[in-house]
Amino acid sequence: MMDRPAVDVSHLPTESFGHRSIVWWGTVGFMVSEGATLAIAASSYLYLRGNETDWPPPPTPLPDLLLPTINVALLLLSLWVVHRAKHHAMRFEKRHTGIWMMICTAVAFITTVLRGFEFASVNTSWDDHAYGSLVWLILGLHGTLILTDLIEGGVIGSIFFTDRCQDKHFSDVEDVALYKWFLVLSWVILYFLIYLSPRLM
Amino acid sequence: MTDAFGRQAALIERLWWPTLWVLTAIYIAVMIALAYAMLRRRHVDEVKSEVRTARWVGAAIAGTVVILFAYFISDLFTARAIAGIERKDGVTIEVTGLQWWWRVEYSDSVPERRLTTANEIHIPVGRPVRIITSSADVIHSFWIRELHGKRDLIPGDKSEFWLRADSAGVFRGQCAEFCGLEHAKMALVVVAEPEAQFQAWYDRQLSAARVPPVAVTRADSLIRSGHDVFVTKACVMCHTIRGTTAGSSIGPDLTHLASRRMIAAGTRTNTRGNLAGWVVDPQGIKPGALMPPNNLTPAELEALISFLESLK
Amino acid sequence: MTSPELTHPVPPTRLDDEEVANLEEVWTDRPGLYGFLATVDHKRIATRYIVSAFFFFALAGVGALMMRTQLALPENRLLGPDFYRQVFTVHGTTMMFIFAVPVMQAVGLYLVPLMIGTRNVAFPRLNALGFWVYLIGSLLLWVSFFMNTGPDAGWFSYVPLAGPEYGPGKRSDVWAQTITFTEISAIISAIEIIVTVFKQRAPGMTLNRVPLFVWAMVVTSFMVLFAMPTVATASAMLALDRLVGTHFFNVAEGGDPLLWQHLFWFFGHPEVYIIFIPATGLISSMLPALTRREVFGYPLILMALVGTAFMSFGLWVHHMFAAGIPMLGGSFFTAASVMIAIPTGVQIFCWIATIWTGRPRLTVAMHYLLGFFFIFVIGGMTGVMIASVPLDWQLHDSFFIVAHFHYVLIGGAVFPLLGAVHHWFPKVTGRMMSEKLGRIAFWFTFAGMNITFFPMHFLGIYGMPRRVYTYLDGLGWNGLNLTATIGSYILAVGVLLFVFNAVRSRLAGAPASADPWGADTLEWATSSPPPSYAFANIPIVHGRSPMWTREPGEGAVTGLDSKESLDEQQRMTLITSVIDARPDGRHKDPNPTILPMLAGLAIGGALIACLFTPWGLPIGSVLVLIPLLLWGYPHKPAAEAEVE
Ligand code: HEA
Ligand code: HEA
Ligand code: HEC
Ligand code: CUA
Ligand SMILES: [Cu+2]
Repeated sequence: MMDRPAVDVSHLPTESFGHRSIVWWGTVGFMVSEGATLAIAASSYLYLRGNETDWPPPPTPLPDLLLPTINVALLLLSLWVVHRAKHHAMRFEKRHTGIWMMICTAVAFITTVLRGFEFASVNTSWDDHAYGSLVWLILGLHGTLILTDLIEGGVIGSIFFTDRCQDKHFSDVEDVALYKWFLVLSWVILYFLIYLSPRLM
Repeated sequence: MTDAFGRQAALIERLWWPTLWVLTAIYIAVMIALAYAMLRRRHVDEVKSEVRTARWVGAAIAGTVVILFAYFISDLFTARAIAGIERKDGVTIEVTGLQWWWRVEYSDSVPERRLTTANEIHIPVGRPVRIITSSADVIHSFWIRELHGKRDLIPGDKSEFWLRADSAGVFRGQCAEFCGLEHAKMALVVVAEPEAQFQAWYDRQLSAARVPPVAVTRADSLIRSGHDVFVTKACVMCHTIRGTTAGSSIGPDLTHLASRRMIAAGTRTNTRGNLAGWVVDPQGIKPGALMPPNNLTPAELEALISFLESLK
Repeated sequence: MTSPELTHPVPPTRLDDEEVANLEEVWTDRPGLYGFLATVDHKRIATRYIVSAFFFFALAGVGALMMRTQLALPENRLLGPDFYRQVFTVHGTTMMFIFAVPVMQAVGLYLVPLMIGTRNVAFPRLNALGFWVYLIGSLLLWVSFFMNTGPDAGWFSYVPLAGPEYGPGKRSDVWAQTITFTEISAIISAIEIIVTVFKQRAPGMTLNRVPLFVWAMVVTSFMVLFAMPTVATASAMLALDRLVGTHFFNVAEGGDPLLWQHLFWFFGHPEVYIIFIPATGLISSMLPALTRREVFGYPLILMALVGTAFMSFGLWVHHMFAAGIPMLGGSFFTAASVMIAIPTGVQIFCWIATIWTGRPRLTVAMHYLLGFFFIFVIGGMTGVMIASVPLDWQLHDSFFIVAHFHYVLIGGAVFPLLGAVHHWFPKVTGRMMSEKLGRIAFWFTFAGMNITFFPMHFLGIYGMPRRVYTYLDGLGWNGLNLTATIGSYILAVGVLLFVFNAVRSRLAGAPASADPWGADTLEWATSSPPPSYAFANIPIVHGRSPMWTREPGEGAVTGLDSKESLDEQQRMTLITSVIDARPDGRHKDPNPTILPMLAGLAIGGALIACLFTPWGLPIGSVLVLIPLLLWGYPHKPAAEAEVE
């Protein structure tokens, strides 16, 4: 019976990072289903586009490029910022983590506002034509993710300036970083789809 | 599946019976295996039986793969045979689904020989028929099971398919896609008849309605006043009767109403009583139908029905 | 209580009686209404889910009886066309979205943590939220139905019939909202199950020792993650078309009604396996106890599950064969559809082999499993028939299809489920269900089911379309319809007897031991009903059938609860590594709170407001945010600070 010993786990940590933490897995789960949502919206775009000879359907002009391109650049920048925050979080540096999270939130705030203006710069309205509906749908779906990320980042960031901060909030920062990757990469693809692909094809 | 009168339906039926028998046989085999598994006497030699069982399972899986593959191949051949119908010298009919009836338009290179009718389709035996599907509102589905399987009528998506009747008969078809309140009572009649009969029918249908110019007999006068009721009451706002001033296409074309077997899209037989019942109160027969009830005096009704019955 | 070394020889240091009493106090909900509403115990929440799902099943079943009564005679005038279309839509929507999927997930939420030897699901509060969202969505559907605003365009709401032009009023909006609600909760449950299984298995439960029901739930949950967002997006697009005038499905402005069909069935086909796969898991996990041997071909069954899941995303077009898709596309989807019969066949063969080589015992649960084989395989065979494009052209949208899917759904999901209820009832309630009454109920259900649905095959072949509120006399359909109706009454008696048996046994059944069937999985290791903390000491797993390979005085996990954690009322769960389930962390499990319910109510309010104005969304979002922020925001860790 010596081969069936007990296992003592009292020494194990109560917080951990990455795939050792269950919150990380939860975040991945939500990312998968949100990713599926975006993929479906993109497929619908391609499906209806396949029915048309000209895209965008005349007389709708092409969407503007300037604002969305700035926004993509900002999103990429926010990736770097959130990684600074993560860097400090993994060392449990409370103040630095907090500061970088705040910078991150500021960038996210600007992106959110710019996203609002993007609706005006696509040169079509949701009720003009299925094309307009699709562009607004994609902007909107991704927009809610941006908004969620902004709020989440802001709330978690602010905790580091209070005395309520616990170990688990450091691992939350890592989840914010992970989510940011999803947010940015998915947008790079969708940016290509709605802004560049009508110009190229 | 059963009772095929047409080439396509026959091809499908030819796939159906072997499929049914083979799958039934497999089903019975599976049930026997299960019953035996439950009831059999247990052996002691567990290890040996585990290995033997594994072999049986492997064989069953292999059998499944083989049978499904054969099935897929016969399915492919059937689908190709159905699509590969001879298309020379075809009749082209555009069928439009509307809530809850069918508009039927025969096309012809000569404009005068184009024909619009409703709810009853005649086709010549032995000649291929091209059906162009279209819908004016929601999705409907065209299904004459003796001739062919279903085809959906989808708004904004005109497409076509072919069928051919190989023996004469009268078939009832019914809309097979849920299309709202009266989906249940959206049927149609298809008459497959020999070429000569079909041509005679077609020529008769092409003629306009004849309203007696002067009322000589009592019957004629009844028809005349029925015509007057029709063109002065609401009817004219929705229906066409060629040869009269009624020319609206919201409802079915009634030019040869009396020649049809059924009324209200296959809901009632075309008798005087049913016709009167329908005209006065369509909602009683087909609640929700897009034809309003009509307030007519008994005399008006009498005349109107006589007129409608004259539309042979 | 804790030991310095990682492992040490038996006898292990287990929790003593006093500590167990402490543990009990930490994990038990407060009594009374607050405790009821605030609970985050997966067992309580799952039970609630199951009871609600059965409640809606009964309602939808009564709807079915109404339909059958209407169809008993030709030109019957009992239900008018406007009521009938609501009844079949609400029946189908309820059965699929409110009964079948949730009930399977709920059984998973109950059994999975116990089967893998953990104390709670990964995110207990989220789990509670999922339930409340589900409940509100389901009530929305039924309250609307009672107010004559029930959805009326069928359970797949084809546009344009469900669109703004041909579906005025709120009926289809209610449908779209119900879908959104139930999909949110389905996604939540899926994430719960995946993370719980990946991270909280008892030490030693490596991936190849995970019980097949747990595997089935994991596979299903992954399918949910991909399938449910599709229908949620599609129903949001439908709602937008109806509410704010977008044109996704409007032909006149570049939309396409076929896009709806593609989106719906891209979800809708996986949906039917989302219902069926958990049921296969139930079978695989009941059979060992019922045949007294391990399931034959564990790896084969596992491969079949995964294979089915992948394939099921590649055959949605077989629901659209009559829409006029190109021939080549049709053949592809035929090939995919018949291929999926292979993994299903593999499972059937493995189960028969299990019975063959085992020593089967005819409990009520076993009755239902045999009923499953008899019924489901018929449904599978008709599925193979309609997978052929030419045959489907004839059979599509006829009563043959109604027969097919009731055979697979009732045979493939309801029968295993009813069997599972008999099987796990003692575990959940601590009381046995009456075997005698169970047998009687089974025979009514079995006979009724076949008498109801077998004639429908012929009806379809003889040309009766589905979704008709009545039919004319003289078409040769009368006798078959009347038979089906009589069958449905027999079936209803069976269901009633089943419900009666469950209620009576719950109140006065014979007390159950911890392991009445001599089963092999871990849920039977704890008492019946399980204590709130499930396992005082997390067991250690040494094989696929831990209950059968247990040894007296066997070791268990120690040191999960520390003196401090017990003092602080801190609930602890064990985190293990994904692949080999090695202990990897001690997770602080959250305490009960009313916030999930409040958040659920806020989400409910927001989505219902969206029925009436697009402003419902922004305003509602803010309302939803408040409880969520409260929930996420940390409490002052006073106690912790003190200890440190
Ligand atoms: C639990 C749910 C469930 C399950 C498991 C299945 C299983 C299958 N279904 Fe079914 N299906 C539905 C639920 C389900 N279905 C529903 C709800 C609808 C209708 C939706 C609506 O329109 O409202 C539908 C509709 C539907 C259609 C569309 C019909 C139409 O609308 O025209 C098709 C077409 O291909 C189809 C095919 C199949 C096939 C091939 C299987 C296969 O997976 C079956 C495989 C199983 C077996 C074959 C039996 C076991 C195997 C053996 C014993 C091996 C030996 C067998 C052979 C050699 C053949 N189904
Ligand atoms: C899991 C899914 C599921 C289940 C279990 C059922 C169960 C049943 N279904 Fe259902 N059905 C569907 C899913 C399901 N159905 C779907 C998806 C559709 C398509 C809808 C559409 O076209 O849009 C459909 C359509 C459908 C039709 C076709 C309608 C039409 O096209 O016109 C019919 C007709 O006979 C029918 C009948 C039945 C019957 C008699 C049962 C019976 O098995 C029901 C048995 C249950 C009972 C009889 C309840 C008994 C309870 C009581 C008596 C109350 C007791 C309660 C307490 C004491 C609390 N169903
Ligand atoms: C508002 C439009 C409208 C008006 C007014 C109207 N109808 Fe109709 N009618 C219809 C429609 C629509 C149908 C098809 C109904 C159905 O089958 O669902 C129909 C069907 C019929 C049919 C059956 C045709 C067939 O082939 O099945 C007859 C006969 C008929 N109408 C006669 C009349 C007469 C006579 C009047 C006037 C007294 C009249 N209609 C007024 C719209 C109208
Ligand atoms: Cu037209 Cu159903
Ligand atoms: Cu399917």
